[in-house]
Amino acid sequence: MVYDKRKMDEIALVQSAQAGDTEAFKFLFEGNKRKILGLAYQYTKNIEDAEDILQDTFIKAYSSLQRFDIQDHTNFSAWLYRIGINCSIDHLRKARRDKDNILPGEDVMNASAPDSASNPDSSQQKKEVRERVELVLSTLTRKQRMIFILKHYQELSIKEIAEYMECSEGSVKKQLFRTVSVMKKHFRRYMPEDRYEMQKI
Amino acid sequence: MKCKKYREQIVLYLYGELTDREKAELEDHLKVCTDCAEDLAYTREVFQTLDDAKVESVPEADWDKCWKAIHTDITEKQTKRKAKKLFYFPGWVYAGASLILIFVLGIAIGRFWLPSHSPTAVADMATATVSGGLKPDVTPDYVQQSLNDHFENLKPLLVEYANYTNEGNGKETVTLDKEALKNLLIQNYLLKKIVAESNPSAQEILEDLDLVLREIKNQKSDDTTASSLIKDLIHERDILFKMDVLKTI
Repeated sequence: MVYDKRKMDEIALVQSAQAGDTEAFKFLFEGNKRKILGLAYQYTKNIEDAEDILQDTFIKAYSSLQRFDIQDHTNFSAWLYRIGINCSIDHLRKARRDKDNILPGEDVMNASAPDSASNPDSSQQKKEVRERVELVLSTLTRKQRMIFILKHYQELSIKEIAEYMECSEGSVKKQLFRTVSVMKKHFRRYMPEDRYEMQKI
Repeated sequence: MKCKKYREQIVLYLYGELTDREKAELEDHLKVCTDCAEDLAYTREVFQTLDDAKVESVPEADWDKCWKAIHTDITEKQTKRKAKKLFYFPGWVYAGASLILIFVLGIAIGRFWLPSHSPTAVADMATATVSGGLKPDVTPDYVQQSLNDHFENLKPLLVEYANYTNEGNGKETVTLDKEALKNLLIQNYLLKKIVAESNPSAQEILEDLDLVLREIKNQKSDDTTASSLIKDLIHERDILFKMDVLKTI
């Protein structure tokens, strides 16, 4: 039998952390912090917010650590990543609500078109596209949102996503297709015709 | 129907998630289906737009600050958990304590609640009455018994006052136990509350007794005039007779 040393170390650290060893938990933090921060930053595009999400993720993970069953969930990183995804979504939802009190998904299909499609080099326009994408994502189910971010921005494989989401690869593919269809429907109305035609040629 | 399958595969194709065989099959289809080819072009364009919004690099976080915040939080949680453990007892401890409590309460009720003629028993009845009607277990018989007991306790004192004579050396007085008198006054007051409205005759005699008892209580030692006044009061109001009548009801 081949032993994955990294995984074995991870299990040992989790067991120590479960017994109250904060030093062991710090090692788990060190080993996963960049991955969680990357995900959080992709969601928020703001380093302070990403740091908040990072902290929330590890605090929630520690609170739920006793429920983490090593026998059932041998992949601590995947479990942690899932918490990070949920924290990111919650953070964004809260931030949006606090910012302008817009209900998630409200009038998303009737909102005005961003200029980014015609000139995506501008950082302001990029920001607008991101906001629009986030708004579209807010109309989707939690599962669809997660899958899209993991696939499109975190560039995980469908197999990995299926593992994080604890569902079948077929289900991930189906959800991903639905999300992309919503995106296509939304962006079609203001996609510059010339660019689209160019692609067709 | 066939195109629907390929539309789904276009997304996976752009994500590089098709097997070689699926990829070849899709590419063959795209050569003959302009709708699907257009859809591929458009999907690619949407992907490009989405990619434009992608973050290229993640700035460095203040890792120390982040860990400190996490560490502070989890340390607090640990402290709370330890404090909670100090006051944690297994379930059987609570069950045992409950049984003991029920046992002690049972003894206490048996000892103090069941019919006795102490002021406490009357006080319980009075509380029941004030809070709206007699308790189911405070029966009229029990009230009558309490009245009878009260009258029995009072009778020697009242008889002594009723037979009071000042014909001797002029220093004859009734011997009083102040504590007993205080208890009789309390008992009388509580019984008055119990029988109010429900038994006017008893209430009337209890009013008279209240008057007599207060006079006795306020009487100064060696005050023969007061003793005579109390004697007159007992006779004028036929207190002893009324007490006997009420006892026989």
